[in-house]
Amino acid sequence: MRTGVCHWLAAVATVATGSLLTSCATVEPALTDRQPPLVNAVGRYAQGEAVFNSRDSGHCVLCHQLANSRAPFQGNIGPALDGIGNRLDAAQLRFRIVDSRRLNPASLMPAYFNTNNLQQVATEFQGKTVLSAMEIEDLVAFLAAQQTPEA
Amino acid sequence: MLLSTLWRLGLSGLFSLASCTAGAAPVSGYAFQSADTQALQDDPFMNPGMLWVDAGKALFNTKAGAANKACSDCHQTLEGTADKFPRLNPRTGALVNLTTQIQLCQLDQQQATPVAYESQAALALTSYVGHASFGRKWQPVTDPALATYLQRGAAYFSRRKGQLDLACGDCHVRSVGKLLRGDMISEGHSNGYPIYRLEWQSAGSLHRRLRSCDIGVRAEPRALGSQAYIEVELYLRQRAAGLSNETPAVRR
Repeated sequence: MRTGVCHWLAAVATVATGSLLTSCATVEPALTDRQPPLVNAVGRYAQGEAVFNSRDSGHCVLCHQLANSRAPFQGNIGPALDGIGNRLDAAQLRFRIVDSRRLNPASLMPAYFNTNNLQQVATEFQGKTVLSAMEIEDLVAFLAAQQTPEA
Repeated sequence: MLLSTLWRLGLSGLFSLASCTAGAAPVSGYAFQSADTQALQDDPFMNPGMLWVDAGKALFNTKAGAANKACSDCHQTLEGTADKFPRLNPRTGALVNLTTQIQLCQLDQQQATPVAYESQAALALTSYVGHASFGRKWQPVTDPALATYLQRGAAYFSRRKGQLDLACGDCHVRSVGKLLRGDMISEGHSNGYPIYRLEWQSAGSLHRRLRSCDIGVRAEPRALGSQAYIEVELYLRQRAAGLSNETPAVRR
């Protein structure tokens, strides 16, 4: 039971830290919170939306909710992403997509541009990232545009 | 639609709470199914998994192999048999589950060609023997000779793997009650196998399900009937101690 409470407190602490990192606009983000572009190209909103929704691509709606996405049955394992463009700039979004565990090692979010320190990877995916550099630029463009007036 | 959403929200709250409490009683995957799916499991005349149980009964009583023996020539009482697996085969000392034990019996006792893992015959025989222990409560694994295998199974469960770098427990411990698209994540208990899975339109083994999960995180799956998966099966049995045998369970 005591362990249970500890787990619960740890979960609350994780959530609290996560929301501080993502929603406290007055805190100057650390340098390590930003990732420069992985490719010299401008991200495209429509392609980024496809990356967000498609089962064969990023499939972000598996775990995240976004009112602007028309995908049915959105998951709720990760936080809702409405207004994410108000809270994070492109470099911060890119950093989290590339490998969010650099911010929070306990995060459940997979790294979408990493091939290091993985175990038992299926043969067809060995040495490959989940998303390409261009897909990440497209996704960043889509997410950076998710801005709500009240936020 | 509204009712279903409300039901999900209620269940989500309930299990978010439950999953935070260490040592809490395990919750069967049954509780995470829709009322329709639960009704399908509960009625033995509607439960599609019973087709495999019935086919298994016929196979169990049919003489086969060079020895011309039926399973029933040696095994008269089956209640409680499925509870004992995975275990070490008393003669070879190898870790076996119910299905690989059936294969050994066919080879040694019937002198027949063993059924292939996941074949209709293997699923039928395993379902029949499993169902004979229906309703019996799973007990913790206590045999000290199994400790090493149990630890290896637990390590497989908790180790992150695949291109998506996720462990079994990332979903089935840490995210219980949350939604992956439309599917609510269960605690991942194994107390109803072989199950009839609506997505498969068939009965299927625990090892088939483990392969689906591994493939889902883009990990190289282990073979059906492999030692690695039987070790996971042993750990899952320990983890589900206190739940009742639901074979054949019905899942979405």
